[in-house]
Amino acid sequence: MKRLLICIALAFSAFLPAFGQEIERVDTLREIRITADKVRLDRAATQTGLQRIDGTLLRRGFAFFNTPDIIKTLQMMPGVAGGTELMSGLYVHGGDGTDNLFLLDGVPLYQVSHLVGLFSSFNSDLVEEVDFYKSGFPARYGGRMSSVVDVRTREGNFDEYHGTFALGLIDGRIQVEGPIIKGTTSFNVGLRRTWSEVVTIPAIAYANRLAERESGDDFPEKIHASYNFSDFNLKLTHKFSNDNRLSLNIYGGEDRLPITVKSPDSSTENGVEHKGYNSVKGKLQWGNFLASLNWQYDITDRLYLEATAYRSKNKNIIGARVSMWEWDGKDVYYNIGEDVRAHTITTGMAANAYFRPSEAHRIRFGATAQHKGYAPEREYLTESVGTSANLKFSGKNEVLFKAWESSLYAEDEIAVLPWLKANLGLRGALFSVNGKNWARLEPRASLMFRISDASDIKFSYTEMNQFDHSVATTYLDLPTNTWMPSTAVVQPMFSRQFAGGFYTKAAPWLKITLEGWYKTMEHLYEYGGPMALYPPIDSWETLFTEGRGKSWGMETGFEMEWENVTAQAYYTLSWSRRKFEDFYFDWYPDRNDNRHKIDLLANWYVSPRFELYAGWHYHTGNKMTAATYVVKGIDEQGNPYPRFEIFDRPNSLKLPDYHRLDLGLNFKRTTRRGNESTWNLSIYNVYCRMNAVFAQITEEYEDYVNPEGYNSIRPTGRSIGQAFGLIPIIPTFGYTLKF
Amino acid sequence: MKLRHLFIFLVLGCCLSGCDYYFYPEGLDNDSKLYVQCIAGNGDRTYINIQKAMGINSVGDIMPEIESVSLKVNGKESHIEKYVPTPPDNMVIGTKDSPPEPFYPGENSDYYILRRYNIWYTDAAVKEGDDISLEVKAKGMQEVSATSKVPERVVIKEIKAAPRCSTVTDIDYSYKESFMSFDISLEDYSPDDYYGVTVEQEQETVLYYDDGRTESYSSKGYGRIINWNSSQSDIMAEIQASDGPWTDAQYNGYFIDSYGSGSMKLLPGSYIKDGHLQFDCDILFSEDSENTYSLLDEDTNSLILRKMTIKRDSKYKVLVYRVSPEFYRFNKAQSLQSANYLAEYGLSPATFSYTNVKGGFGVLAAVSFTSTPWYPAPFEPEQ
Repeated sequence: MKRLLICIALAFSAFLPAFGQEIERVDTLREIRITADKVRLDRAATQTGLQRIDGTLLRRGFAFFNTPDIIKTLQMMPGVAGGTELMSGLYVHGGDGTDNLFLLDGVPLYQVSHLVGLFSSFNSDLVEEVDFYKSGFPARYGGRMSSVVDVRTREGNFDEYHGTFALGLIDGRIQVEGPIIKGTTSFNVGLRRTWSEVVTIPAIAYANRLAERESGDDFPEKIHASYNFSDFNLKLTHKFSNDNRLSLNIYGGEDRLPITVKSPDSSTENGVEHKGYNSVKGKLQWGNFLASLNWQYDITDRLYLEATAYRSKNKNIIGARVSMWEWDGKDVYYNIGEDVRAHTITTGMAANAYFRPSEAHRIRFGATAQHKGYAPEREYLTESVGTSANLKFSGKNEVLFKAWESSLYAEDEIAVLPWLKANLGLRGALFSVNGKNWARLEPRASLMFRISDASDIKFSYTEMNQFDHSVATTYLDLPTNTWMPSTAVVQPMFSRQFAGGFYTKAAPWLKITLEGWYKTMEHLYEYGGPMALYPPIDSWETLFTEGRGKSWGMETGFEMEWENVTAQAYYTLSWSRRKFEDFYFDWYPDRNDNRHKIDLLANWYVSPRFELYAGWHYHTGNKMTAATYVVKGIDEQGNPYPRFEIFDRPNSLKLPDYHRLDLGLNFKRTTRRGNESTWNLSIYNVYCRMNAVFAQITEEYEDYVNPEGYNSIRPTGRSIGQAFGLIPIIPTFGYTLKF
Repeated sequence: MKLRHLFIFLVLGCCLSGCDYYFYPEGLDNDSKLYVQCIAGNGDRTYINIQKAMGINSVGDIMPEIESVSLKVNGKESHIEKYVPTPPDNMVIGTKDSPPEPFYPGENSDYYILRRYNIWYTDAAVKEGDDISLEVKAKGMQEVSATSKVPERVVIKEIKAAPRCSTVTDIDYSYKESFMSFDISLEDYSPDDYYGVTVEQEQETVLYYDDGRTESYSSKGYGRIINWNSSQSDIMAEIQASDGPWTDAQYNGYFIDSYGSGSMKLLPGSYIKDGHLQFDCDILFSEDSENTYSLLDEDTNSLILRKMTIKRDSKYKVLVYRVSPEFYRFNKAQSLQSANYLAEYGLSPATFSYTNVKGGFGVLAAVSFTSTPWYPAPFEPEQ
């Protein structure tokens, strides 16, 4: 039973042994070129903790599975923990992973990953630039507590048609851009889809046929299953003039996992035996849809306006249908189905203004208004007997919250002195739900001291509130996870962060950064109810326990660039603590409390046609909760009583340290038509370190010879950790053609 | 085996080899602490169960050598005695020369019998509102102490019970079931308090043979705690108080079934709407039925079937508890912890063992209960 539950919980993770090569993407390797070019700390910015990822340079490098991945790029940044290997976890400065504001062209996105987090939802072909804030958040951003990931997509080319076609081991993607009306209107469209079904569907059909042949039965049990995900991006831009433009952005991404199990059955009617199937059809479907209309207008050289209207929807559907007695696939005598649907819809408008009174003074101000609908659990039951004419349809257990989130902000960036620059801002937020109003003021301040032409010192102070709460019963990114609003019982999450840093260009080839932070978090929520894969929505307010968090640390970066070689070294020393008094009376380490984190990256441009990459990643092992004490008893027959384990403090066990080496190469050539093609070969986890994805504590046993002279085993009295690693060495290759 | 099968096995073998491996955990404890469990109440006897909680990596004697046990009620020392039961006949006694199997290295086998009964007790009853404190000293171990307060007894204003049946529809089948639906109105309910409820049942069975003989069986005095109805959705409110160690000890005034066949329903006051404690449970209904029995015909030396009538008269009573916060938190933690398999692998939030014992583990808690009279159980409602 225990194994079964684990298997269900890991339904997606369980793909790893079988489809590991398909799932894996070593963006790490791609990132090797990052730091000098793709990712850079913006020295000119007043804010601390800002890293900018250039989309063009991001796409120039290779990627595992031939698909660059923004989230996994961010995971390598100092001050960020990635959580479970290969997942799209983003734990920034001790955050809980659900507190990152993901903006796609200014519109919030709730779900940013596919396949339990193995792939991120952003199609890098359309990405122009990503701003990643870990601290020093400007006042224009709000609604999440720990980080801001502001992804902006590229406008299509207004003069020529171009595109990219890429094929990897698990997915393919195509991107095309060009003018609709030359010089005035353009499009940029991208499509990404897995093609793993090409392999999995015939493989399952072959397995069914083998089972049929072996059983010799005309009606053997059959299983049909497949998985796919897809992303669609469209950006239409129309220029009324060089200063006035309108753009329409659409994004749709969805994961689908249909499973059908057919069990043979038979019945005798009027002396005639009928054979057929009882079938159970299940489906999992989850994803996002986002549409926005954006208008940008430069009124004068000094005043710029931007207005956006948008709708962002996140949905999950978990369905099951049982068909009793499906004879030859035609007659269904009894049919019952159940769908559990959840969605979160945000409809909003935002207006931003940018005013530059002088070269040394910039003012931003704006407002947002969002209507949010939370339907975390809508259960639909269908039932039919005989034919579908008797279909019954009912909905129940519907829980629906409607909320308004509004905000006003103003930020003033001014060069007070030649050596002192300040960004001061204030954001006011109001969240209304079911008659409860939460009003918050969020001061933001950043200071930059220029101590020499090559060196700066920066400080920042920020406060952030979060009114959306991810409701999940496990640490897995499952489609059963949903979002709920702050209510009269559940308070908004809140963070306060101080950060400071030293930034210098020590030599023409060397940039050094050193940052430190201290962050506190209030009103964190963690599930404290019985084990369940689907969150018990009816009682979520009482089942989720409230706590606090704090995090502090130091991160350093060394970015080196020579003629043909670039190298980066990042080191983070950090602490992350939690205090949930329902769990434990004192502070305890967070599960992503990785004391040390090191990322070493290098790339060598051997020739214009040939590039080599290498990356080594290390962090102190993640934490998990294990029994720390055990009370041993004895039963009436003198046998050891089942161990009674005491979990006296959370996250007491440190998993083995994580490390891996990635290598790769890009081979480029020009086709006869003058297009650039790239073959990419990469090896993830070169020395096949089976890093622990999860672990358990168990009793250690030893061999011994019992008094009767037989070999047997007995407990040593010690406990031992059993770590489970899922990701072996994975070589992949891919092909990209740009036209 | 065909070549392609061999190839598949080789590939899978490479992928899966080394999927799991063992390591000695760092930073876990090697010391030992006292584990104390004591539930005081307004009944007649209070037990104190003392054991040793060993660090997960420690090896050694699993029994503490107790130096003193002190239980104070309102600051006044209570007289306590060591509980020494008579070992049952079927108990296997281990000795140093003949240790029972398997044998834990480093453990003193002489303790194999008595360790289970490392229990003290007092017959000095505690009253509502009493402050209780407990201190235990053991050789070579940190002294532990804990305090609690006996809560006020619940006053039941009204109790309503009605037999019901309903159709339970599952994803692949539906069925009908019968249960009793209770609505207990409490006079002094508070959302800040914690409550518990059990329903006990007794049954008297009389067999009326067709030859005029009668035979009767009674479970009087051995009432069982009934199960809660499975259709209840507020899973949080149901706490399987039998989870955890030594709950088969008889506590003050009530009995927690150690085999999981029945349970106490524990719930915070916030779950009680407007002072109404409402729940369903699967009680034994009274029953009249016909059956047959076999009788040996001595003339023909063969078995003949005869008729008999069976009457089962069931009774039930409800016990409503007000429990101390420690009692609720301890049992809630035990219950959640025992069922959270995902947490064992670090895949979901773990539940931690609650304790209010300073310097050790376990719980000192208190309960007060109010019992209703025995009510005759009705006949099962028609489905």
